[in-house]
Amino acid sequence: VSSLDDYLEQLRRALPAGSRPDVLAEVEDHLRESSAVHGEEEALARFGPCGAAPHERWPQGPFPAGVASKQDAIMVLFLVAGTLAVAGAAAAARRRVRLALALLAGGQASLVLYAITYARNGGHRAPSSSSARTPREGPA
Amino acid sequence: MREPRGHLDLLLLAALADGPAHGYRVIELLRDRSGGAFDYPEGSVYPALHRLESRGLLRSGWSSASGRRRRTYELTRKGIAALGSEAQSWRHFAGAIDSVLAGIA
Repeated sequence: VSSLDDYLEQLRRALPAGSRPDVLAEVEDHLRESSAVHGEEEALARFGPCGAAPHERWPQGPFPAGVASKQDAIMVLFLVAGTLAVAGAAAAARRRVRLALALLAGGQASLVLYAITYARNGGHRAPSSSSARTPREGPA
Repeated sequence: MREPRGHLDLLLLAALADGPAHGYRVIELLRDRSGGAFDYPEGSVYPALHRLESRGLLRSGWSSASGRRRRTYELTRKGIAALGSEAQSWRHFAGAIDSVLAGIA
């Protein structure tokens, strides 16, 4: 595990809940470019501390606090959509068509909400686990 | 030189006035154009860029370069207007300071 990987893991831990999941990918791209020019140690020094006293607070992402990653949001939204769809199908089987349509519309709305949040987030996955290994020490 | 936080927003908008750039390039522009005076801790720039984006002054998108995905920022119409307004305010302020200092050897 390189010191850059450690740094990214510390930053991941220091980010507030609900931070944009693509922050780490952006920082990693920056640090790799800077490392190529200045070397890894200098690149990290230039970037500054990532822990307890950030120079600026990282803004929250499109997800509410407690839903800290896009993957979490996807899971929650699909769970909601799936539950509504199953309930709708069950209601339809009992000939409660209006209720079924309402529940299915709710499921569709959940999927649209997911698509919107995904698009607002740049359609980007959170960084790979290759930079999220166990750190040697906690956040700075 | 450690600049007050409020000035960083203006400087970032100005750095993007010539066209889209990624964060690393924005930092280089600030450092180069200021002759090394604005040598911010690089980690402080990204939260500021994100904040400006959340205020609608910048937009960003991901692109691929040299096999890497990279986020690029550019001014929005609102950002261009804000840059013009803030630059004018700053020039007025700096001009007033210069006027006061004019009599000092």
